[in-house]
Amino acid sequence: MSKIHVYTAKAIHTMEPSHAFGTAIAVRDGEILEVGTLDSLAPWLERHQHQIDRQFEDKVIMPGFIDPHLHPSMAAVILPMQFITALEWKLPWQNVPATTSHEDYLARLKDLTSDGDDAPFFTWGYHRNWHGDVTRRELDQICPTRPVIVWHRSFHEVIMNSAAIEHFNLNTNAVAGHPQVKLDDGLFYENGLRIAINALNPVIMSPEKFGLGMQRLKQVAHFGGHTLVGDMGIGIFNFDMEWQAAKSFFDTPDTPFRVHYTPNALALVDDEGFDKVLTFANGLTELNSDKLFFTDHVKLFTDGAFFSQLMMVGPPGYLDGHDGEWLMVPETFEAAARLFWHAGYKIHVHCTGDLGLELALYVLQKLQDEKPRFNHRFTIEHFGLSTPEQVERMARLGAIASANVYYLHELSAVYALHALGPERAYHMARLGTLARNNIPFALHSDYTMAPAQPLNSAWVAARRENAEGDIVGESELVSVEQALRAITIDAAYVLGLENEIGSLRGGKRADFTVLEADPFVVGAAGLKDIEIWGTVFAGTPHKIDKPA
Amino acid sequence: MSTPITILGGYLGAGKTTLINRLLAEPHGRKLTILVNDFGAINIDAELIDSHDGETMSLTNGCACCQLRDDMIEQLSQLAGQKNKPEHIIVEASGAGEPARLAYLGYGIEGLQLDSVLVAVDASTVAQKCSDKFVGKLVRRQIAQADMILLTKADATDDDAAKAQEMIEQMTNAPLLNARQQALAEIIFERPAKHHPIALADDEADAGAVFDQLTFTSDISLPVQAFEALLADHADKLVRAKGHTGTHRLQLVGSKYTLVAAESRACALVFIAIKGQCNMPKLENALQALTVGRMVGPAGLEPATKPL
Repeated sequence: MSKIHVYTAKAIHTMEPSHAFGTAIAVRDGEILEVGTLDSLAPWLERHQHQIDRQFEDKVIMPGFIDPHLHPSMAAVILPMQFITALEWKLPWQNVPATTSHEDYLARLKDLTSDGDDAPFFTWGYHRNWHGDVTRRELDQICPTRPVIVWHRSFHEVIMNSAAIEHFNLNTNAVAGHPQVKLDDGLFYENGLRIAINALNPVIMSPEKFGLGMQRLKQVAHFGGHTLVGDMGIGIFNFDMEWQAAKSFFDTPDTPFRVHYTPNALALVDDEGFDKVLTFANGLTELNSDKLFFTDHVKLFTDGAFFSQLMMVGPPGYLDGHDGEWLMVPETFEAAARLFWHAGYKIHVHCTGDLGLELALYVLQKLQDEKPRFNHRFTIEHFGLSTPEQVERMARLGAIASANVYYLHELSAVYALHALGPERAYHMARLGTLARNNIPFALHSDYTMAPAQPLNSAWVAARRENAEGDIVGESELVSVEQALRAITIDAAYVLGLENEIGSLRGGKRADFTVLEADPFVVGAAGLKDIEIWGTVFAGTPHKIDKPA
Repeated sequence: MSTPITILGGYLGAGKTTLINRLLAEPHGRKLTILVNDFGAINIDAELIDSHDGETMSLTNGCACCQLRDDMIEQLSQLAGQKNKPEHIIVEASGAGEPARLAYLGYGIEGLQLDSVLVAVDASTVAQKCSDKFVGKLVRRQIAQADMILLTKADATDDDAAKAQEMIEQMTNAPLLNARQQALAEIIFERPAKHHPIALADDEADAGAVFDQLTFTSDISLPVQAFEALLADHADKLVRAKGHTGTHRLQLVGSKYTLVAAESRACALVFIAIKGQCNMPKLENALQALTVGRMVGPAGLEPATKPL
């Protein structure tokens, strides 16, 4: 047995209601023995060899942060790109400043592309609401010879300059004639984008780029203070490729976090149907290692993406009368949910709009009538739009939530004007209603849909301040404690890991996040600016290297 | 010569797979390649199967059936580019999808040309589906996007079929065929004129989001040279145009058009543009202007050049 290691701290918030606070925490072999004071730990310290470590004496220890829903493979495609974004993004290797006008966007692009390199330049984050129309001609003026590919923040369109169009052989009559390509403007969208991606794939999915993306994601996860993240839907591109990449980049001694994997049933299904996905999912725990592991979760989908206005919205619909889309139509969703429900799985459903949620609850009600289950953790993922009545039904049916509350920050002002009207736009992510109905909920980033910074998500939840600086939907505010639970113990609960992580209690894993300031002292408004020293993973400190 | 591509849409359970099974097996003598969503559901007599490699099933009659891949664009490019290319490609749209979106595949790929959008509708469930809380709008949009509706399972009861037909006719001008009573190849390849006066493709008027559409009819034939000049002015603004000028047949796809002399009939034309790209009222006025001063001549004869 190893020596006991005791960390002292200015404050230790355990997130355990019955034993909420301490100033010393004893760990051994990656496991917590007890939280208290140096005095109260005496029964341990008198009996065993130990050492007192005072490096966190002026810092605050929290349970290691958990993001139960992000997408390493998607992130690995985007992270090698240069970020030019409307909102500020803090990345481990740089702080990306907010770029909010057309002129500034072009100036920043010119600056970044003039580094003497001539390899295709990819940038992510462009958004028309802030950056106006950026066209092929403007890109040509900035970059006459270097291929430039501008990827929209939603990932649903790209704009290229002439050099890129030539480089990727897109200068054909057939491409020019496509109704969802405006070749004169260099714009590719919807099905036109598929043509562009088809041409770009050899570069963006190359081992060099994708590998760089995985390396960066590893930095990002540590930078946010995570000690566990959930890949909520492995299989998005190709299961074997993604698992191999995960093994090579994450399953290494220097990775200071674990990854919980949930298979994406929609991506894995083939013409032989969901039975085969179930069989496949049943065998996945055999792949488990210390750091990468599957349990008994599965990911299903109802409606389309929130950032693309493809969520299914109930009456009165969208302002412009357009419609969202079903990722799984009701019959397919019901059949898949039934299969996994009866097999005892914990089902996570991607639901963005209120009609998407309606479908999930309609099916959950049927399944409860067929085979009542308790503690089933049927989780509404994203939880964009909902009604108070739906939240109440969630409570009755035992559904829980994992919310992307950042929608509210980035989109509420824009969606109030351009998609939904203020009433619905300001009440995205009804966390207050969840709390009043005693429904456990987590916060997630769906990275790169939101920054993978749990304290930033907690700030949005406890503050509801949007990109315009307005506080919206105040009745849905939650307390600082509730917001912090959502990135620790309740996030663990969503992944079914509450017995081993999420709070600081004897017997749990010694995974902490070490902060420079106390969130309970700083209060809601300051949560996002709390500096993170680093983490302690399995008892060992891992300091965050700050960007230069 | 471009390979025509037909999109077969319709909601889940509308009977698309049954139609495809028939199309593969019917003795139409054409070399078809059909890309399907659910390869496992394809059910062909073993003696018709020449080879089967898990992704492609080749039949002794020259047809082939393939699983639609995620990289559909690449798959279609390969098909269109291969030496021994199919006579006609049919792509099964997902039941959750809008066939008009898939119809865009007919553009942007060298060697392919969109032929038509067929939408299968189950006569016995269409009323219920169209009013469904979750998918009602989707099913109505799918129907509105069809060039032709294939009514399936219409032999359930005559009453159902009649009711379904009445309902569908309120949603679309597209011709409606009872797919149970006709050889499919005839529907898709021959397209008897009486069933197919004008292809109303990509009609999303209902959804209002994507297209502007102009339908122009006249008893008077349009003067070909003047019409062609007008067309040349508008071709790059149009996505699609089809129909008959009275003396010529027009096909316009993605700014390229053909205008070939054809058997005379009444002028009927449809023009489709991405919303806001083409001033449709102006185009209509210009077309109207072409007919002014022209008298009605008996079909098939050169119309008189002077007004009476």
